[in-house]
Amino acid sequence: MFSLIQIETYKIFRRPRTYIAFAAITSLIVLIQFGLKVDGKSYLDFMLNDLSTTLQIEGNIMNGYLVCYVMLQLLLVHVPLLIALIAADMISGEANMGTLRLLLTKPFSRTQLMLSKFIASTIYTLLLLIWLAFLALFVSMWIFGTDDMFLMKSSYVVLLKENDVFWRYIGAFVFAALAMTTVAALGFLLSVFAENSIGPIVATMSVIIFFTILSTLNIPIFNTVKPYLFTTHMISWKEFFDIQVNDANEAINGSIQNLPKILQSAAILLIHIVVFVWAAIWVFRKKDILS
Amino acid sequence: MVPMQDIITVNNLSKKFRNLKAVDNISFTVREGDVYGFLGQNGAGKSTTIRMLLTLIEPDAGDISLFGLSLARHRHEILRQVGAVIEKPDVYKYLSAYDNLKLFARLSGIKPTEQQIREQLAMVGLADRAADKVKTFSQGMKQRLGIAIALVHDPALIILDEPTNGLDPQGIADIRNLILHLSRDRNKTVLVSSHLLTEIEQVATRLIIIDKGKKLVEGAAADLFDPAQTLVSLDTLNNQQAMEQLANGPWAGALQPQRDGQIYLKLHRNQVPQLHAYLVQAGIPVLALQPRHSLEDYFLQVTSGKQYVQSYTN
Amino acid sequence: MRKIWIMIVLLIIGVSSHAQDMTALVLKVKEKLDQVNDYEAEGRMKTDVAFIKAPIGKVKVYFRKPDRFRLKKDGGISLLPKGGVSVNIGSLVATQNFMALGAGEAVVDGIATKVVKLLPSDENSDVVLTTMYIDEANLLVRKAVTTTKENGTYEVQMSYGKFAQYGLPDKVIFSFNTKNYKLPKGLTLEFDDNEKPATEAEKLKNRKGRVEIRYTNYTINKGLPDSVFK
Repeated sequence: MFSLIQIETYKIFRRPRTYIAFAAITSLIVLIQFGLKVDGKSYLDFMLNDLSTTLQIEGNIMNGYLVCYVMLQLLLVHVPLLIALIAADMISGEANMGTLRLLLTKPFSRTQLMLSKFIASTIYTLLLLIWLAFLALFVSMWIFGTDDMFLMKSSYVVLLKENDVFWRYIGAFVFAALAMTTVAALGFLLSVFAENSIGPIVATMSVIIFFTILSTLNIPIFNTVKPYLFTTHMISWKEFFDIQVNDANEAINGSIQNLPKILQSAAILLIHIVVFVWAAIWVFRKKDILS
Repeated sequence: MVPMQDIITVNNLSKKFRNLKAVDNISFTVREGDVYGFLGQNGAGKSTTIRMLLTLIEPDAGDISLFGLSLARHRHEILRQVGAVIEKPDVYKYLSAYDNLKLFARLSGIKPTEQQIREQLAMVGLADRAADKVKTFSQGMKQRLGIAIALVHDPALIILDEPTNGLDPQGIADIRNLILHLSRDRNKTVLVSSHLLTEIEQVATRLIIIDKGKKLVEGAAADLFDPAQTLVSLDTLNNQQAMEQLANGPWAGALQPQRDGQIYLKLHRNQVPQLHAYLVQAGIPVLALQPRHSLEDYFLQVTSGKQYVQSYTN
Repeated sequence: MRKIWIMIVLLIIGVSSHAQDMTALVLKVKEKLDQVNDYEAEGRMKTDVAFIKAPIGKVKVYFRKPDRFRLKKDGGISLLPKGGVSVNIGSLVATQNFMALGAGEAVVDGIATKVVKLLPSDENSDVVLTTMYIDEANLLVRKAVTTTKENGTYEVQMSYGKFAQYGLPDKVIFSFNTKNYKLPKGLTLEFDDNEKPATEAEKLKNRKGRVEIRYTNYTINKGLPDSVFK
């Protein structure tokens, strides 16, 4: 099993396609960093427009911590597409290439193969996120410096002390890993049903985009379905950056406003992963390989 | 002498795809040391049967045993001793020949040394292309790499599904020689499927012919046909006269039933010139005297003269 | 007719003499504050605005006569009411150009105070009107409400302790009006629509903001380099 995981991981990282995702993330991040470095002030002025009529805001607002947050907001919508590129190709890609039949005549069970393939896609997902964290967080910290994190939410603002931010990013990235693994699991499930690469990739992307749009639209009729969409829960990483206040409206360092919400979302995502992977294995075990 | 073991035993195997009976109650046995020909036209059910032997397709009914073990219960043990090329020899195009071979060896549960991998590649003539990505390979090279992969873990049974598909005449001859080498020099049992009758005829010790999912015949090649005996078709200006002449002369024993107005004789290849000389001497003007492959003719008989056999002979 | 003139004259005399009294009081307060040429103070600042979640932060405050004032957060980002915090009593009474009108008496934090309305005579001054609640006995300003042209009205309330002799407060509370804060969810990429409970939503609509600074230490008349006011 371990060598099977090794082999599957090896296969992923020997494919040129794998590096498209890394290149895409790199170029997107560099682009945003460049944009914010050059013109971050106008972006800030725009965001602060409302606030600055009554408040005077001083300090290095556009620091590495905020830059990373801005990027995560943007990128965590796009990264699923990059994950689908690999995860939704795990089975169908081999079926398409014709290697699946040879692979399945080797002395290990289909369940073992499926688990190894899923673990390998998860490793890819995690490495992609680590790369993302490195560029979006550490490189931004290096370019923009660190300071308190001034976060503008839609109905209130949060000011986190500099020494109260980093651990939140660890939490956020761990949560993001869970969210992205859910995407990988979905792509993985869909890849069982096809014998070409494009179908499952497009299907996974479509599901993500469709659900995200439903999650985003603020139309009452959709609001009832929102809690049941996993895309709604994928953005709960943001909750790490909301802080509790005491009765005197003082923010409590090291606190999280809504920890139960994070845990609930995490549990829902975890259930999705288990169900997707289990379904993928169940279907694949019964499948006649005709490719 | 060690008693011959049954390597593959298939009993009453059936598989249906929707309404199509792809394999219909087929039974056969492959013995140790056999080069077992699996013969049938495209769509006859050869690939489905082979895929069931390799657990790629779940049978609807029937038993499969390999090496005396039930395939359903001892899948891993059995598959460790089987090497296969299934239809097109597809491997990872983005990897080199060397890496592909190493990867599949590890999947088969062995860790070959670099030396062993290079030897294996040399055996199929790919030693100098070891480091090249497979996407640059020709069909024939891929086929040879596929065979190297099937052999890398030194299996006792080798299953080759349509191994000559898409190969040029030289490639076909190479595969034929390889099968003979594996059988004679390395004591492998080989199951080879094909719709190319000449290939089977020249290598198979035993064979099965299936059509529309059903077994038509199974047996030792020697029993089914004598490679030394050739079926000769004869066409003359006056076939009626020729028929009478032959039936009453020394060649009467070789005469076969007439078909399509043509005369058939079964005789040794060496006798063909003598037959020609006899006919000329008897004053019969010969238009054509054509030796035909024996198995093709046999095939013609059992599958009631399918068009594809004709097209192949051309 | 003469009666009327006398009435007017008496009225003018009365009002102006009363006003004169108040100017004297303000000048006395100013005199007390004038002992301090400069100071550097450390304190803890708390921002209490309904829509802001901010932790307590350390601040440093620098002052030099007549009106150099600087509040620095010890690193980090600071949110301050616009123009509000930079106003201190020293600078309020720094110039002679005001009119001080008495407006009765009031009790602030249990202390009896005189209410004084200060009107800057400078047309260009941002301050329109300042109402001061002066503790006459100790010559301390307990509370000041300032209305400005640009930055609305804010209130400064002060408590005194160890440094009362210099007229420097231990605690200052700035109260000011804020506008409603709202950014479109599309901009902040918030998809979840968990409506806040009514009480909390109501709380967010509270438009009164407060910034509270508790001073822990003053360093008085030790001189300050110009660089701190940059």
